[in-house]
Amino acid sequence: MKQVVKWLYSLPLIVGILALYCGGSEINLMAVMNEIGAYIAGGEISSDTMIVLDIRLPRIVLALLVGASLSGSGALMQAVFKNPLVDPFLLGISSGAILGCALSIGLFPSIPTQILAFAGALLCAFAVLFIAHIAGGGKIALVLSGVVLSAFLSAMTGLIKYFVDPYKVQTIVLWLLGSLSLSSWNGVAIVFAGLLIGFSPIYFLSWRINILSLDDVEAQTLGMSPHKMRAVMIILVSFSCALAVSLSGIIGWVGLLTPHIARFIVGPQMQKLIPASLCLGGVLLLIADTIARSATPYDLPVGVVTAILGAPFFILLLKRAKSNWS
Amino acid sequence: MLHVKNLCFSYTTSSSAIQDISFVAKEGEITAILGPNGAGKSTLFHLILGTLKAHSGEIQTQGTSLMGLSLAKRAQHISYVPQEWHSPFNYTTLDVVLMGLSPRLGLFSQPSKADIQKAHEILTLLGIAHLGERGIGELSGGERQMALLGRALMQETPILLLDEPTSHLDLKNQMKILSILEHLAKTTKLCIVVTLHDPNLASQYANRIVAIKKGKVYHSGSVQEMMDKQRLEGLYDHPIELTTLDGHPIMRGKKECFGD
Repeated sequence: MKQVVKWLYSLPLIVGILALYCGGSEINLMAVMNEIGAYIAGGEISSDTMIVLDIRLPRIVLALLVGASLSGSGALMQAVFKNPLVDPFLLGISSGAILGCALSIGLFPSIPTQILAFAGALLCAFAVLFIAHIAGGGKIALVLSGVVLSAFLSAMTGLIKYFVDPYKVQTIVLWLLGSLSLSSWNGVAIVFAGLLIGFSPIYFLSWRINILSLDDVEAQTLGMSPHKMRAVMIILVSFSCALAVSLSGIIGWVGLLTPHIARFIVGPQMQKLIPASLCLGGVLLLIADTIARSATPYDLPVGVVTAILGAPFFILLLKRAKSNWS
Repeated sequence: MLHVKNLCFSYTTSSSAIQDISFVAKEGEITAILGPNGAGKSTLFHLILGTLKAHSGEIQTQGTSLMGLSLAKRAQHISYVPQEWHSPFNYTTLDVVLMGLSPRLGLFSQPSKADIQKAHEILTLLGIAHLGERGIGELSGGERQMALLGRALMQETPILLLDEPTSHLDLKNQMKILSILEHLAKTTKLCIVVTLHDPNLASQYANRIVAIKKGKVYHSGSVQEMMDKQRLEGLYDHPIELTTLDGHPIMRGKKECFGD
């Protein structure tokens, strides 16, 4: 297993380089590298190099960052709520961000998408917690309140689609399917900022998050105030997740599934699980996105690919882990 | 020493869960809290731990009041062993023991090599050194209880609270964990407070007994005083027989024929 862990952290680079070769045009990567060198020295660049620099590379980096953000958020949420079935979508964080984005695209174009996404994510996460609290505060209450609120928010997003003009509806629908086709270096910078600001404190607090994954009373007897810590975690994760969702749309399963695979490889300790989930989530989304843009002549929405691949894989995981989840 | 004075608490305005409870638990001794189901033993523990707030009263250790202390500060005075492990994640036994460092570590700190060495020593002391890398979910009930005791010992507090540590264990493991507690009380001068359902275990291992009934102290004193036929019958509202074994009074509940 130690060998697997060693390879795990080099996977983004390996898969990233392989993904550069995939796409409609066949590209000689060595020639592109030479051309980039010449370009820095003042030379011209060809269309192949432009495809790599302006289309493939930002899309690959964006896939790695969005996947990392969703997967890291899932790993953290599962620990914070002591529930291996939680992910950013189930808790309403993603649904809130989606509603915020739909509002921005459809009704309030003057307000930046990322701001409304963050506001929506944060509001919804705390609303789910509140509903779960008044419903008794158990794991089932939390999951059900997430499901209920997500359904409500989907209806609200549907309502926005109904009222806005057809062009905007098309934009919202395409974005809801989850796609990285509109990636740019600006988008990369936004998601990177979210990941850096959200996950730097989470990484440094990772040992303490292990305590948060215990029963609340136990965490208190170990000197932790679980409610405060949980609120901080939700804010950090909402920020990172909302910025990722604002660029990628709905990409399901990565946040739920990847932490389980990472846990299988490195164990449940958060100081190992968070980096492993970030790394693996990025790689899995990159593989899914490469399939989405290369498998057919059309650029399929990556959200569709993750859903198709994720469901059977999750059933396998459920079967494997049934003794631990009963 | 743990000094509980006139502690009062209620979950609702109409009835009190804990009424004017006072007792002293000394270092180097095991104090057993006995009482029927619903007597208020767990509530009393939560009040001492600070996870519930007492309406009135005082809790002191070595003359210092714990009432105004934060959870982090309080966890430097009192450690706790719950009845069961509650987490869906399969941490290793060593990880679980290291969690006891939480009250003493800085917010962003992680256990050092010396801390890990100390955790190994505790595992050795408890006889579970071979289980250090094993997931806690893969341990037996007795081994899991040992791991949780290890976590409490890692906290290095002068007071150790155990909530019915024997309730899910077989006879061998019950004896093992209580013998370890007896050894720890004698050798490390820990003040150990333990809730028990079985008065016979209290008779064998405790130095003093605090019996609680309906949220009040029913009797507080030595084992000999408590292991009295009338007192025990009054505590459990059930007829008993009392004998002596190896110098310890042993109680047996009288058989009740249902329907008679």
